[in-house]
Amino acid sequence: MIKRRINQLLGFLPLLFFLAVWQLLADQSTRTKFLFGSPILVIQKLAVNIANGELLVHAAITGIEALGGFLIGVTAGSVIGFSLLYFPKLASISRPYVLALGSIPIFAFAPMMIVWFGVGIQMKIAMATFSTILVALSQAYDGGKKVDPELKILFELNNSSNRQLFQKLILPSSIDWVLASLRLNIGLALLGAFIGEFIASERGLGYIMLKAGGLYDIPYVLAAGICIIGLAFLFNFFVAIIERNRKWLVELISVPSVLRAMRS
Amino acid sequence: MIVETIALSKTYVADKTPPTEALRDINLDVSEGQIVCIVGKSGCGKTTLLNIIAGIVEPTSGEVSVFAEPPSKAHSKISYMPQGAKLLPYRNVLQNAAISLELRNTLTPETIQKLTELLDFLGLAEFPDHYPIELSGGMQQRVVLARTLAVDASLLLCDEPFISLDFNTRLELEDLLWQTIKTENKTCVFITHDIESAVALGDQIVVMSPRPGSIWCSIDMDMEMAGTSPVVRRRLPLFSQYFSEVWQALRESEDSNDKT
Repeated sequence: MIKRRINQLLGFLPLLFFLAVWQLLADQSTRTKFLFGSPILVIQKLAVNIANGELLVHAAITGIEALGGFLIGVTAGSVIGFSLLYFPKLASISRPYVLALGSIPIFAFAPMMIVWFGVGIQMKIAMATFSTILVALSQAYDGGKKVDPELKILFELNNSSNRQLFQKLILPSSIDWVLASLRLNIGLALLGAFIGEFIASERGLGYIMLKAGGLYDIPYVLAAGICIIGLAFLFNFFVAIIERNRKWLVELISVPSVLRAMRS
Repeated sequence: MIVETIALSKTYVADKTPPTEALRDINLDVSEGQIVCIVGKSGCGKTTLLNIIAGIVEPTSGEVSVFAEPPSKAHSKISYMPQGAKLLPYRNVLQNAAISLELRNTLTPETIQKLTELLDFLGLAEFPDHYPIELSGGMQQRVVLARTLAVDASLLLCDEPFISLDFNTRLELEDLLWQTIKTENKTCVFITHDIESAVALGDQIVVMSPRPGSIWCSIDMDMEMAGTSPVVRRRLPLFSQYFSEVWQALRESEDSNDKT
């Protein structure tokens, strides 16, 4: 227990070292402080703007946009990915298209998104959705493809329906792939929402960073960056809860209640 | 006849490799209540033959019928026990054993009760909540056996199910399987390359020649042997006689294959 605590504290050492060096260098001249800010200035900015509610409001907006895109993207991507398992021809035809779409930087879609969805929250959600959907699709498809073929034969020999095959074999067997897609997509959803705000917005952390950057307010830019990290941690926290309850979740999805109730 | 194959052949064709003839002209009859053990060298096409009977693999030529129907239409009457302990890792012992019942939509309080008794019979009564990773290889194989026997299938297809187990566990499970088949009047096609298991378990032993697999000979067990459980059968004087006969047939089939 004590050893674990010591290890946890040791994990903070590089950060403390970095902050100390940064502060030390920033204190050398007004110019370096202006160009790079300093930890103390960033903390001050963070504290003031959290206290007056500004950062919290903008962080909440970015969070809602990212969460919306994340949920739509992961759900739609997983549904399409799993569906493709039942249409192998369609899957092989669509593979190069998915690869091509995945290789285009999300930034390149922003002008089209503005045309299609305007500059409101819908555009940011669409950007976050587009950032996440392909990863979710690939993860679900690859996870489903990795299902043990002998277990598939077992299902086939028992005359299982497509629904049973999905509910009792494909989904539970590929749950780790889906959970990995959640982890991967947290950062991508935030990036999508952020780029949307950066390009056309009057709200959100992307807007704050753009505005603060324009005013050469580096500490505020970094304070907003810390808020994005905070959002990523928050999303990761919820995904970790799902991961911890994975066994229960799989059982809930795939095992009839009469058998679940029979635990001794 | 429960299983009937006529002039059955199978050739695997792949894009970049030459075709592989796995089976040639297989004529096999399995009557009701029989345990037919198919023995042969590894790679002689035993599993292919079983998979054709199960309807998983299509033959290249010839005919196969199970309960006088094409195998794919007889799935509800077949229970398949694969090589190795293939269990669903996210399900506990009871849930794994019940999966075939669920898929066949026959999970009722009565079948669950029967399954619980079966788990008890197989020595798994204390472990219904354990997951496969928490079980030994022998216990995992017992769960597979429970899953196979849980459904009311008249034909059991077993593909070297006990091959990776230690000798004692294998004896025990062979005995349990034999008892269930005989008391419930099931029919079984049992694939193995272990002559000893085949002689201990089978009512009839079919010896297959090396690839392309064909039936070299078929040996029917004496009444005394056929009516005795595998553990007791191993102690009968006739056991070593049949063992030698099957061994000799296998060697002859290999020699003949080498000459050709």
